[in-house]
Amino acid sequence: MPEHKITFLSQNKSGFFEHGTTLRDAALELGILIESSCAGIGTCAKCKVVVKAGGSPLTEAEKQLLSRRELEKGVRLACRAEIAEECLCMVPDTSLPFAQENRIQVSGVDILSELQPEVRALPVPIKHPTLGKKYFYFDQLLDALRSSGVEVQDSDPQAIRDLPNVLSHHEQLYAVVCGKRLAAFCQDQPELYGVAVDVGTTTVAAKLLNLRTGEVLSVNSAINAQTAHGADVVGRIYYCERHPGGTRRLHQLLIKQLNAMLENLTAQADIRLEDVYQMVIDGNTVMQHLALNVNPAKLGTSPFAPILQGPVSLSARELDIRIHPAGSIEIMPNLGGYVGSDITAVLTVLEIDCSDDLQVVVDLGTNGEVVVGNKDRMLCCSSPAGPAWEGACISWGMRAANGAIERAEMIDGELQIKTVGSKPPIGICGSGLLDLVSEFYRAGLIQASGRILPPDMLSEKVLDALKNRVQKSDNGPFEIRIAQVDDERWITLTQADVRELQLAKAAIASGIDLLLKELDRKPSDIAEVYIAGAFGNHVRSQDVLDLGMLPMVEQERIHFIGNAALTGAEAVLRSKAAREKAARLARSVDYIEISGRSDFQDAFVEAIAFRQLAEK
Amino acid sequence: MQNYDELRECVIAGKKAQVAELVRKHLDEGKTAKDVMDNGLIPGMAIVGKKFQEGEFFIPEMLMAARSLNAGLEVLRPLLEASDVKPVAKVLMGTVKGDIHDIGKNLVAVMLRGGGFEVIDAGVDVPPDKFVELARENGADLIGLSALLTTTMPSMKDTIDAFQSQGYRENVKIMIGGAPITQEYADEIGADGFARNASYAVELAKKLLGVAA
Repeated sequence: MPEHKITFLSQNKSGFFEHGTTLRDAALELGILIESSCAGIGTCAKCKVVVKAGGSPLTEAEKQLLSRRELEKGVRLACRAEIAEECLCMVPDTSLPFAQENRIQVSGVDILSELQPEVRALPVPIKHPTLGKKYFYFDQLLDALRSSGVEVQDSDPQAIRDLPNVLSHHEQLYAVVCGKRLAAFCQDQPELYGVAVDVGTTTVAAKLLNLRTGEVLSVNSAINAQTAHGADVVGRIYYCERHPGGTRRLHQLLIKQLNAMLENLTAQADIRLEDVYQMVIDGNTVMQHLALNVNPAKLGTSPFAPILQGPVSLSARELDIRIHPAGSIEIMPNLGGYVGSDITAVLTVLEIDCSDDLQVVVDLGTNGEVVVGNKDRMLCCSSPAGPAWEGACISWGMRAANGAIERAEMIDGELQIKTVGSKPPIGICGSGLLDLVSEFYRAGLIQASGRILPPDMLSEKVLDALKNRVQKSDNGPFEIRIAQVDDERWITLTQADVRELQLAKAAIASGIDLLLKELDRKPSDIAEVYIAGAFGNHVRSQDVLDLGMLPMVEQERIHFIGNAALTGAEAVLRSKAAREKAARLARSVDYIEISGRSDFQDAFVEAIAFRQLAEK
Repeated sequence: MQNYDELRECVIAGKKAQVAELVRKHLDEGKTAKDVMDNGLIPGMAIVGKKFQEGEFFIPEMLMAARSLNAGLEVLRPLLEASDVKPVAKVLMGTVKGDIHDIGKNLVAVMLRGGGFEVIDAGVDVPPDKFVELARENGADLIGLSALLTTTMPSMKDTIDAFQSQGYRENVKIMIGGAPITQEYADEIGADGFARNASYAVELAKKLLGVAA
């Protein structure tokens, strides 16, 4: 096979690749990560690039997914177009996930938990040997620890190797203990830090804590580096199945990313990496498997059973995570099926397990989950809403980066929008999508069935300015113009976008509905609703109610708790009580597989329409 | 033809009881079952399909229409069988092994029934051998395979391979569909066609079987 040169003009990078290599593969090889929600199977049309020369003939997928104007301008899908000869192309900003700083929720609910971390530094007196008496330094130190009430079951070999260098004429040294494992000896009292991590399908968020003072030193978040290989968990599983060594590759991407985030966190706080002794990780079941380099294939087909529940405790060395090599990596336990340890973590910071009243927890993410219950019984289920909340599969969808429409409001009958960073609008993110659909629904542009009404069917009460936003799209259905990008193009909300939102919210609503039924309770029994996840506080409770994502409850009962999964991991890092609570929850919360149930389809279809609004 | 308007409207609006009633009324008036089917129910469902394709209808409306269609078919079935009117063709539909999503498959089944096909529903999580067995048993002309997960797509290939290895591949056409499916994948695994939505599935089925549209 001949090789051709390809140049990415926008990145000023080039390289030689075999004839027939896709532009996406070439870009990846050159370190250019192009946006993709379908992992390169040619269905999402997020990987648009402009080919100036040297591309292969258009494929069917491109003819279908690209508009006439795009085709005229040489827009191609990077996953379809191949290098046919010397090739020149450009990657527009909108096709680059890392092009802009993403604003992702890192805060969560506040929990005031005790500070009783698993990692401790204990002073140990050194009783120096005398000639003629049987004596071993290491064993003497263990004895001393034992007599102060610390039972060490297992010691890191490197701690023993280091001991000769640490022993001095001092009267004491410090033993760093993680749970029942002796991690290190230090001459002076060491600093102790810990990191909490929430590995989401789309976003990884982390927080650095001083374990002696409890102070939060820095926070950091990034797009999950695995997204190039699948937008949702099923995509990731497919990648592991389809590519030899795929599991290992995704595992390594995650580890590499965690190490990069650790560098950031410690640099920001100006501390040393080797003073970090513990990392607590939560995430959905697939992320948990990948963190452990365990093939998640079993989760990909019915009956969707994970390989393990956890918790799993490993040394940092075993996972190649660059904190102190003997530091511990704690991977929290999952709850079953796709309901992962991120939900265990969310439940750890809430008090459902000691409440008499019925509570509902919804995690709005790519992999959505629902928990319903009280102290007597808690049920959870997975309600995969798909990546719509992250802007994937939405025509003008994007993540919450600069220029994303994140809020929309109807003021005096006209639409007002707000973008991230107050930049000119370039797309719509999850919270913006929710706002837009609910505003247009309340304004009467969209029916309860989800249909965008043609202008001639709109009520006379709708102002002309709003009416004029409804336009017939190129391929038939109506769409609503949101904002103008340039002379030719408008950001629009299409009929298909509304349908995607309907499917996503129906997954959540039907999940709640089925769990309520399983508990033999009614929507009116719900005392509190907690909504965790990426949008955090960027959503209005009125909207989730009007769209029918939740059963009808009073607005005051809906609480947005942001990235509570990260807060949960932090709680486990801080306190023994939280750690024990998480373990208890993992045992006691029952997992219900709803997708295989005969009543699921009915509940799901039932939940597709929006809530009927009272006549104004 | 004029007098089927109301029946068609009721099919489109998903008015189950009225559809059954109107079908009976037309039969009482002396129309043949075939005529009611060809000029009442089928054109009604064709409009439903069009509305779906154009975004006006979504899953709930489609399923409502399906229920009304079924109510009408219930009334007609004994008469069609007695008068020896053959369905356009027999289609065996199912969601492949490892996958349990059935809404998409059901929508396709609805549209095919509305297009005059007889549809045998094999259900979900159907093993490859079961497809072959059911195809033989029922004399299916066309097999429709559905998968909603990228991870269960390989079961489609397994199913097609089963038809091949059991020497029954030549007796049937096979079409596939589902969110992650592409034409390329259909070509790769040797399916005869790929339908990107329920409306198109009817067109494709007719094309594959050489039935006049």
